[in-house]
Amino acid sequence: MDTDLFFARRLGYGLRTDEKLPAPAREWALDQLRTIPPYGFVDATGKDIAASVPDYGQLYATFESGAHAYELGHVAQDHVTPLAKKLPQVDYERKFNLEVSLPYWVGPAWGECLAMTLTAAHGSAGVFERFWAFWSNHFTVSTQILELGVFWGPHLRTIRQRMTGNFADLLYDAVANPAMLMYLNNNESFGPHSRKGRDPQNPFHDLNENLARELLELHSVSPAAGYTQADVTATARLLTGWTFRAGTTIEGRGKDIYGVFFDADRHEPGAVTIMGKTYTPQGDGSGMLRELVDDLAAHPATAHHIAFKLARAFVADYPSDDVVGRIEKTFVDTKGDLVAVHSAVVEEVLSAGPQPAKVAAPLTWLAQAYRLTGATVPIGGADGAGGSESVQLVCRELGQEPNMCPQPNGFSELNADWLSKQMIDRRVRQAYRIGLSTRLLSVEALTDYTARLAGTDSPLVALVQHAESRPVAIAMLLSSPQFLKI
Amino acid sequence: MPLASDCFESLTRRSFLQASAVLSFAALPELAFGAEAGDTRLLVILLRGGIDGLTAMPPIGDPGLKGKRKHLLPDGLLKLDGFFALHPAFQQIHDAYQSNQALLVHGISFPYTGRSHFEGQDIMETGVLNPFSSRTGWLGRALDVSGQRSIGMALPVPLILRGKNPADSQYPTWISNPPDSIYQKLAPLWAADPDTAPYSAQLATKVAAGLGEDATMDIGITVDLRVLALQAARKLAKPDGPRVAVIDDVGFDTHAQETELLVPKMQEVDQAIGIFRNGVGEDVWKKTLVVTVTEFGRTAAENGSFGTDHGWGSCAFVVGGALKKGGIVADWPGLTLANLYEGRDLKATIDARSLYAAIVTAALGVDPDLVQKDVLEHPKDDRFAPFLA
Repeated sequence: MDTDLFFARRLGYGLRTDEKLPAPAREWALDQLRTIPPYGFVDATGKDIAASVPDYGQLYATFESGAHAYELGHVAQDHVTPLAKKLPQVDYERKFNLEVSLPYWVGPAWGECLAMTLTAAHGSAGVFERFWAFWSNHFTVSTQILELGVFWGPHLRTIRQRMTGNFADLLYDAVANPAMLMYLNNNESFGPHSRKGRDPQNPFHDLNENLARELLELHSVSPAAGYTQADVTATARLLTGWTFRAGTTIEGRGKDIYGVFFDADRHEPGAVTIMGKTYTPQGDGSGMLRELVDDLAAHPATAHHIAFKLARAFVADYPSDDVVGRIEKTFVDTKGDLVAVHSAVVEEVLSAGPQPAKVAAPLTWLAQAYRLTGATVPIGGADGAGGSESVQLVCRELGQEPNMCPQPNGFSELNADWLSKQMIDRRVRQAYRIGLSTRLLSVEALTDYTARLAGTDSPLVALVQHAESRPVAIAMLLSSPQFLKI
Repeated sequence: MPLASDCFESLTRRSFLQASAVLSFAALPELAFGAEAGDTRLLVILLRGGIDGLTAMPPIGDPGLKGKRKHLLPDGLLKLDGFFALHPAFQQIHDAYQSNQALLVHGISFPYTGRSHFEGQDIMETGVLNPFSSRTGWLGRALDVSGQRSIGMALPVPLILRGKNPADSQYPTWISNPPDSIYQKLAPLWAADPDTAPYSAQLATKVAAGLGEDATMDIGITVDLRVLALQAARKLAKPDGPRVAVIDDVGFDTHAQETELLVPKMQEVDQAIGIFRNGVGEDVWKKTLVVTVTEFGRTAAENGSFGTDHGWGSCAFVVGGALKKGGIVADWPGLTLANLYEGRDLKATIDARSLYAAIVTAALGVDPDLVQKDVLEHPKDDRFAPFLA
């Protein structure tokens, strides 16, 4: 087995058949963690192909631009919806799709799925991209709420921008933004004693604790910290007021604001006590969240929770206490410096040696398969635009549609959750499609790669070398246990 | 992790005893059709997110209900026993109830009060009260004992079905079918890797059986619960097919705008049960139990955004021709502040493990002592025996 190839696959998105690591594995991996690599629609040669992506799939750079799209989407929706009674249903649905769904709610997430796959398959910072995937999953938001489509991409890229800083800043920005506030319903949480909560004209008059609970349980300290319902309720109180604005779509103060917005009129007045510490508002109460986030980030249970999750994602399903402990210590010693923490994870992977222990989750596998084969990543179309083969649809079939994680705890990092008759069958099916669309790869190059992957004495080498066709050879390589595991 | 193992003992403070339905149906002739052991079909539907029992099966006889649910009580409730009613989304379940083929349980949950979905779902699937400590599910362990086969209507095998033997799985796809030779040639390699080995035989069987029925979707179609129910029915209807199927549904976590979210979900579940019933045919339906499982219920009161937050007690439905009779089992905890758990959640007065243990015995023929020892540890509860053959 080629150890460079092993680490390139365990830590990154693997290697093309003709690709070598530009430096020793350790240096190659650690170098990537210090800078934020380019991101977007690129082909295998590094050329920008944004021009060939439909308009509806173009990326919104910031929450502000997402909020403008949110406003325009609502304007379009208000324009089209009254036609439901006038047009035949088929024509109405078509119009709604083309003028509302595609450009605003469905298209942006579709484009983001394409961009992340292209960047993983063709970029040169796979290790960074894998850590990005980890944090995106840690702070899951999903477009099951349709209108969240305009904010999903900005959420992912905000996380990306914070990955060379510290965990507290990442936590703050991953939570206090339109995507998370909408996903976990904080935009509908009102302090019962706030001005709006007491207003009989306002239909909303009480707390919604969804974000509060997941902020503690999933994003930071985890239930191991032993918080109580009273802590969750107090956190929900502290979080009231945090919402977003998108111009004319939301009446009232802050109408000219696009993006995250602290609405003091819905913030529950007064101090709250969370896990023994009292948070007292200064001014409008908007500063309390930063204070809480800093405390959560510094809580020992957070260091353990994050270290365990990283170890599970990158090292082993059931990592040893030693492995977790060393990552945890780095987290504590550096006060959550993410470059240091990610570096500690890389060191653990390297010192565990070239031993396949993890089943590659579908997205990891798919991007690795595209990178290896050089097959063209299909652009296709979004739902409602013909629904032709696209990365997003393929991911859905493989069980990991990035924008549609079923629950806020993210996709699983456990091998057992990515293996079943059906899940292996899906990989075989998609592997064969990739095989059919691969044009440039010779059987010799494939055979050489297989030998590097599996060892020259592996029966897989002969299977690939003597396969009845090149697509079959590629399908067998990509769906072999040697390639399924990293 | 807060446990509530001591929360079930306080049955002396019963505010209502819902035995009326039990009594009214006791006089009717039993409808069990002498299903042979090992022939019963079991469909388990997981309702992830925590279904709101007070909306699904509102206790309209409780004077506290209207005050707690100013916006969430629907019109057109379906009549049950006068104290409880059924949400109008549940037409099929209500029909089954009227024909003595539905056992409706309220104030039920696992003895877990931590209000975390993910701990709660782990417990509902493993039946083990220490979350994330078991890699097998109670249904999987039951099948290990009974020796019957099962199928997960999902991409991964749901944890509840995992046991010593790997469960089969099925889920429709549009991705075209590659040559069988790939599976045949890879089977020995899959068999040689500990992670893929459990599935190598199934993948080889799949080749022998042909793949036609698996590639049935148009591109881009989202898989519907009702499609899964029909496919499960076809599998379970076969005389030599699996005996247990699991449908893994999600979307019951209704923190905001609950009515908009929950009504279509409940309709989908209800229709899936109807489609399953038609799909297996009346003869097999007579030998069938369909069971719902959820991780917890929700707050008794609405929250600030027309939804409900995480709670404890909920409801569970058992539907099917294999019931001896239908009825309601509840030991209603009440909705006054003092009767709510920590002043907010509907209490669970029935341990869900006892219901599912009884189902394992009734559907899979596993001896109750073995269930207790090897499948699902549970407090003894004989209230289900009159309903289950």
